[in-house]
Amino acid sequence: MARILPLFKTEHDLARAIIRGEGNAQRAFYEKYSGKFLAICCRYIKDRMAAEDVMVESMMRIFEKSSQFDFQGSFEGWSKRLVVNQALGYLRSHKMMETGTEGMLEAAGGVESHLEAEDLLRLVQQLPAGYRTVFNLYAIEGYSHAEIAELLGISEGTSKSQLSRARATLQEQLNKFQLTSNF
Amino acid sequence: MDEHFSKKLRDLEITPSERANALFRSRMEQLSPPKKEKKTTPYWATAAAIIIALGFLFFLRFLPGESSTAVNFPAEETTTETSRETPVELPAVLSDKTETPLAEVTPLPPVIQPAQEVNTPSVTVTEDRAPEKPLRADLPKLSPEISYRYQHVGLTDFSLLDVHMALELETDRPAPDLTVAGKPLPLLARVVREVKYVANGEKPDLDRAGLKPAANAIAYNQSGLLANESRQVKERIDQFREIFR
Repeated sequence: MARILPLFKTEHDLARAIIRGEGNAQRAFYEKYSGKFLAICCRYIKDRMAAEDVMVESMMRIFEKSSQFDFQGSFEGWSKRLVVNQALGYLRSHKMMETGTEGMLEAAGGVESHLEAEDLLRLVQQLPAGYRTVFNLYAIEGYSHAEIAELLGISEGTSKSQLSRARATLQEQLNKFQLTSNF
Repeated sequence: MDEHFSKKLRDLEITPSERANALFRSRMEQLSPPKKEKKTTPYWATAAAIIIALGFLFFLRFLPGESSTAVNFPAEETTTETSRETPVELPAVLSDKTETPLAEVTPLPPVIQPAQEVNTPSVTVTEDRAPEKPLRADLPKLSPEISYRYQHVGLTDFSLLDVHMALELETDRPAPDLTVAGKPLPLLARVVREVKYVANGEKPDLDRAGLKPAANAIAYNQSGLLANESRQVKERIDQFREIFR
């Protein structure tokens, strides 16, 4: 695959090839971005296999809708939004958008000694789906509360409250981790 | 805290499992449009038709008795047969050919008869001949010239020195009486009788004496040619030499 990537000098070249439906370009795109997109899916979806399924479906959706890309911004950013939407659609279809604190207590036991990216991801994944989704959208993806409210079909106040609760929960988990590490 | 999470998680990459890769490949196969199947059937059908036609033509070429021209007649068979039966018949044929114009031969369709009828006078000689093959029966169907020549070979199919029957197909003259009490006159007796004619002031006539075939046979040189034929061949060779000199 590494021999295919140099064929597309820029991201837009790759996008054009994908729009033309070239299989080589699609496989190159998968090789290049599947890791990033799977990480996004894992932030929203706790189950790894489900996250992988959503990532592959996102890839297919990107290929299908690539003709809608207007070359105004980054093709990667445009693709990421599709992945996020796909993950949200999965959560919505599985009714995992309810807010709540169920399952929070089990999260503390899984904290590792070093808070690397994988550890933070694991903390985020232990959040309830509602908290996790709003936190991901606001803190990591950069959406506003208005956009989150529109995306999730909730009010802005709900989005804000979900975010604050998510922060509090994460802080609590971090404090527990620090206490555990001090001992 | 938001920035900390954002920095750490924004660029995070997780390698997909082999299951995810296989799922992607299967989805790609579904996504790719089905390739058009090459319609090879017409090409195969055309090739098969050509091969069948060539095979049919090849089969027709070697079908015995189906050829409509005398060109395909096995010449080797006739030559071997004639040489086996009568070693001296070739001179007779050549002499008749040289002496008998085609114009005189063509008005003889009634004379061209099946082989057995024409050979009736020389029955005693042709009795030991092998039974004719089916191809010979088809000879009269051929062109008159070819048929005549073939039958003419049959007419000379006799032992030249023992039975001297004049072959006067091209003339209306009655055949000379070469028999004495129903038996053929010996060669020496014919020569003596002809010498007596000449001594009485008549011109020598080989036809009258029934000596023409024998004389022709004697007249042939080692190349199987008559004197005039050898001269003609030499003249032609000289002409070619002049041309290519």
